[in-house]
Amino acid sequence: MSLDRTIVPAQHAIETPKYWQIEHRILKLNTNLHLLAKSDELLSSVVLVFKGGLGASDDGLDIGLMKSMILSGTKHYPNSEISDELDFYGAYFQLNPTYNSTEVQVICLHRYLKPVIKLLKEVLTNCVFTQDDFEIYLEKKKQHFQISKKKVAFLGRMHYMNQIFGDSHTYGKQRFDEDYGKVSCDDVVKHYEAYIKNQPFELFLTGKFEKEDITLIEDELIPEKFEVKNKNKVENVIIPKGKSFNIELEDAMQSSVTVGFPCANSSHPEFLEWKVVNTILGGYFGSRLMKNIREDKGYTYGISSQLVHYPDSGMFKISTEVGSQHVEDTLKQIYDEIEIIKTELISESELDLVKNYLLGGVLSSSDGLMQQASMYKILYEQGFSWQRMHDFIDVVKNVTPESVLKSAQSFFSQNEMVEVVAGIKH
Amino acid sequence: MINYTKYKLDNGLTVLLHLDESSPMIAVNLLYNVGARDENPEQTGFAHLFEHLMFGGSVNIENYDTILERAGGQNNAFTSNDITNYYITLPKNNLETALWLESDRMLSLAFSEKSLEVQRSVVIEEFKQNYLNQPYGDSSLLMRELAYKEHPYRWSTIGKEIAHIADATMEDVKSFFYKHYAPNNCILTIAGDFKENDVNALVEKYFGGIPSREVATRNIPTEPKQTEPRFLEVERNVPSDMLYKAYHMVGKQDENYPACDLISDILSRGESSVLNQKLVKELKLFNQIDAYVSGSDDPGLFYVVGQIGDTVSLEEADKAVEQVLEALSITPITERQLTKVKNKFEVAHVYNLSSVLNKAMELSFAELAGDVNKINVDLDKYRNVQIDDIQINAKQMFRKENCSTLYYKAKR
Repeated sequence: MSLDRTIVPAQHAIETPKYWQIEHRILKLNTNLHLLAKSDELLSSVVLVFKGGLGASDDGLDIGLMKSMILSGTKHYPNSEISDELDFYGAYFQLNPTYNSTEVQVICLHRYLKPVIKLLKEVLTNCVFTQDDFEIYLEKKKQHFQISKKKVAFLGRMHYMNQIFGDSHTYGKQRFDEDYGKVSCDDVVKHYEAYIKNQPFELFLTGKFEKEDITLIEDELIPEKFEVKNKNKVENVIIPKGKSFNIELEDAMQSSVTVGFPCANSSHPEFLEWKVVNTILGGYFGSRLMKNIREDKGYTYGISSQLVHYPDSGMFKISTEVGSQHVEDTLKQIYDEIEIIKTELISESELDLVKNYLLGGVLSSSDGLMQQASMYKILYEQGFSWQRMHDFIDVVKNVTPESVLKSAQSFFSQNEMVEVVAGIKH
Repeated sequence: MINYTKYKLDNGLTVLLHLDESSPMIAVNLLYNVGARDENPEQTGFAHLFEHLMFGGSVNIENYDTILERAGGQNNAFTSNDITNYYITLPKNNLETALWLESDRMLSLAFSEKSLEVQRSVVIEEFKQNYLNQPYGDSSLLMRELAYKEHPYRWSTIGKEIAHIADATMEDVKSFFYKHYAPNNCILTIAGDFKENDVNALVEKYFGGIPSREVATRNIPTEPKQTEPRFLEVERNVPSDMLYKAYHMVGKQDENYPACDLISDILSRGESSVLNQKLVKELKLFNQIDAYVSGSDDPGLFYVVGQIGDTVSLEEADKAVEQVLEALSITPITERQLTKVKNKFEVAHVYNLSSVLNKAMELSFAELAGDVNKINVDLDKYRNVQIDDIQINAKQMFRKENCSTLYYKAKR
């Protein structure tokens, strides 16, 4: 019997993800431990989340430099020896500042966990930032900025954030050449001492951990007492600038186009419904913007929309890089698509597709211990638990064409649209 | 230890199965043994353009992506100089949809004119976005042309020039498909939680009926041995000078490959690496410097790329790099240096093999390399590299007459 290839195979309902129970414990000095341990894992991941990130910095340069210099030397392991030691045990170390926190992560083979923890303690308490290293890294950052300024995507991003958050907010601040002359090695030291060294943190352990590992971590990483330091006082006020901004870049073959507005964050009761609206518009490969601007017109390699949560705000943006001759029509098409989603009911068939895509995505994001742990951490930081994922699944299953239309209207009524073009606007 | 089952269908399709009961997702990977090295020098960028067209509808299915997304799946593909690889992850109970989609486009494409027209322009925008409209974006194109004179690695997967993509016709597309896309030129790998009998029946149902095709025999010119140093200087509108050096090295399947790969780690992985310590921190000639291998099947390139300080001359920086590389071939590294890069490799290796998708891909790559079990012995090959191997390979590679150098200068 020959196969009839026109018959679509039966599609099965997408199962609900299974989330591991995260164990909570309170360690020394009221330190919260979030533990997801599995004995058959080979790797151990240790994450410490300190309060205070980019929002606690005037221009982010002190934090950026701390990030670059953090493994350049410590009291007992000077001249990059600390990095050499961590590398010797195959450990991967990262320091990632977000808006209101700074995350330190180490991943290593469990068999080397003990020495790696001792090294981590050294990084967290005994970093030495020398003037010599400071100058090397400052120079590197300066040069990197000069290169970034030649990229339309970078310029578009910076000016878009500046338009919607303004000059008085960490996210909105523009970067200037002269910023690099203002930061000093002392600023880096101060930031490290105020936000990392002997400061309280939340602890997330994922992977293989024995009982004695946790005792060791508690003993080594939590100090005898936390030292409260004077923090840098930074006013972060959102003062949007304008509605439209163009920045020219000579010889740009492509221009970056960004359109969006500041919006409420995940604490808003409709945020999950908005996520569905965002997906339909530009949140996946088959989105309306991709279909229109890439797959129908061929103006771009890619276009997407994003709905981003920040602790004190949210941000929506549509961004793309298009051939410079297509800027005007791209803008028109973007506004047309927004108008359509605000005024026309979505078809059952398109909505059905988006629902399945989202449910598949939720299931996929639950795959694997490390992935679950990082998702849990994000939820926790936003004040949620695994329940939030189940809420999202419910929202996705229950949205209707009518409810999507309503959500789109409420979403787009929050703020006026801001538009930034970097490159050449014909 | 990654378990697997391997068999071949009558039409020549190689099938690999890996069981992982812990995942709610299933990964389906199709590796077609065709890449940019199989292109006609007058029609470069074709394998990659073709990858785009594979999403433009197949003989019985108009919209690949829509159907996959409706089944809760995600997919993507990439083209390299050696291969074209398509991959899907989707909820495990919808595996059949993935096999239906993939088998239909292996059978034949819709060859739609509209799709060709749009994807030509999408790929041209990709060309601009990644190569032409980026500072230093054309450096990789220049380096390939300098280092290779005969071998098709002399052009990149995006192609030599935009015109080659703009001129692609439907006839070219069809002939490329029938020359290279065939069950007997493909490795299908499925990784996840399944019952082997069910999967075997589905694979037979969807792929069994696709006829095998006469696949073009690969006839790639060997790159003649480089006998003298090569040099190119360009000036562009960029903020600072960059130095690019490329040394010919062995291909990925060569027994010396792990040693060469580890040399790149010794030179530039991490704060304490040799190049960073010597040239960034001590001599302050570079603001940043990296070493990496191209990792190609045929003999590849060992790159050293660095951004030099504003007050330093390219000549001075270049000389200093050569001295560091030469030192590596004269003075043996320490046992500790070697253990360090091996340990680092091991963590990356373990981490990489933690998802069904990565396992499916790595199994396919190992099979293409001639032995699927390579996936389980790769780590040992790196573990077995000795201090001598580092020295011998450094000596073999880092010779002036084996090197192509590009001075990428900022217009002042």
